[in-house]
Amino acid sequence: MSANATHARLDADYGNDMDVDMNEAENSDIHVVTPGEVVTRDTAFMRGHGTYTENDTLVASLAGVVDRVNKLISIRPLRTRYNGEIGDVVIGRVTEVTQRRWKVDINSRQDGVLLLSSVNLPGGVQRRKTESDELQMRTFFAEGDMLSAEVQSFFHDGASSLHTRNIKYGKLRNGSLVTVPSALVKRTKSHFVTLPCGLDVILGLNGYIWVSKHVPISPEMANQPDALYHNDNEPISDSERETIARVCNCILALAKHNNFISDTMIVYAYDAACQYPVKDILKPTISQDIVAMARAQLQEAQQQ
Amino acid sequence: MADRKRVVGPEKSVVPLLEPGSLVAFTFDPNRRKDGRNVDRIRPVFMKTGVVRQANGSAYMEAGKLKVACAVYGPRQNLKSKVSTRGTLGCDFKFSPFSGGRRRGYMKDSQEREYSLVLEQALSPAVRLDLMPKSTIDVFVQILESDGSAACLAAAITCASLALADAGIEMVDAVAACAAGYFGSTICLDPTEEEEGYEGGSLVLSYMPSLNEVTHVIQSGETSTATTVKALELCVDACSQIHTVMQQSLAANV
Repeated sequence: MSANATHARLDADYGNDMDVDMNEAENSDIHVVTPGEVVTRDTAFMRGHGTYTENDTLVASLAGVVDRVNKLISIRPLRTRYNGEIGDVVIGRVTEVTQRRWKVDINSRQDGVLLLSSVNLPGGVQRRKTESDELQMRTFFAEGDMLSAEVQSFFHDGASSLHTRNIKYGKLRNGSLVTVPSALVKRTKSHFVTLPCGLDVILGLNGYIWVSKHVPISPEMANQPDALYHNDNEPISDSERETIARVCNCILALAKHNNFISDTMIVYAYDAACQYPVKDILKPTISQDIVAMARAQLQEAQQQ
Repeated sequence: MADRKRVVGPEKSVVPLLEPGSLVAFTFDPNRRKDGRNVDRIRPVFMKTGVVRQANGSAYMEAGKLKVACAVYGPRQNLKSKVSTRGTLGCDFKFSPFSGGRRRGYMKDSQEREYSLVLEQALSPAVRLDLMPKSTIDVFVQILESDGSAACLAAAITCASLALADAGIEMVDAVAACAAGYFGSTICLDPTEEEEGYEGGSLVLSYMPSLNEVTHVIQSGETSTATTVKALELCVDACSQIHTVMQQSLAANV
């Protein structure tokens, strides 16, 4: 519950005026603390993430903004590693193949774990995993492969267990990876979006975003051997490549200006960026223009 | 039989001829420092966070001529798959080859290895490693321009702690460090390289100002208990000043 409330606060912050610096100037209730700084001496408050108690005082252990939800006080840093929650859509890169599991880099404190028992193999959902599957794990995911997954649970040491037991999760192809601070990606109903420009975007909550050519997936594919785990890209035309690059740069421009990243925001930024050549989008003045235009459009949409 | 490959010196040696007065010993008066500082003053410091884009956290610090950059990567998966309930902190301290008067090699020498160790010892009490099992944090400190080796170490500790805070890593408090040099019974804070040549000993204190706790002390040379106690007190005061600057630069960037 606290997590949802925290996130609502995060949205509200960015919703008013996406720039954190500007927010500070305008909203005086934003309280910035540094490690070791006393947050409150009032014992009525509960200590949340990024705080500890020392002689009945609540002290910050992170540099960031104080977040208060009723009586729970936590510190939200701007830049930190991704802290997973169950049900999060994440994008990761396979770093290691071991006994019955893959280790996946998900921008977290520890690598995520994808168990062989939590993936769908060709042949149906009900299929049992045999020893021969264990031996050919590299044919499904090898080191360096990108995949999308969902956080299923946590191990006792805090490592997250992932699963890809849905047709929408699995190996990623035909696209490009963009990395942004994980705090900027909003939790929304769907993290799999198809943009009007005909691209698929997967917004991983760990700050990894996958921008790819739209390839329709059919349920029959799950039963075809090799359909889920092959490594070959579809043919991608030059114009499609350019669109992918444009969307990637728009996302980077939004991240550069500490703007939250959602499907609508990407669409607005893309519209604003259409008038510029792709390589110019990340130039300081142009990216500023694009982000400002996207924000204006968002405000207009909110007023209507 | 005479060794032909050996260069033998002359059989008779003579005292070199010198002009009278050319052998004046350079002396150093701690009360008249070259940059006009009092003995209990540190050099003005400048700090900035977020200077290295690909790192999870980074900081840059300047104190007079001294320039330090630090990058922090992690917490990330421990590459050695040993079972541990705590995270590990790896520190890497390096002088740039061009940092001082004498060129330094690319390989780490014994001084740099020692400072890496000191850095780790000074920072690990502050970082909440108990919250990061199986993870490592890597801290890389690069001295861009050095001015006094003790001051470099102190600046490295301060800069690294700032970068850790910038990386969003949980710490009980930010660590500030300060160096002092002993010149007889006089204590000079933050000695420069030139002053260091005349000192009889030095002390580097790492201190957590909000908690009022010391994380690390390293002392070398000859001293008395009274001098050391006085130096510690002076360093504690200076660390509190440095801590204020750290807080400001962090708050400006969050």
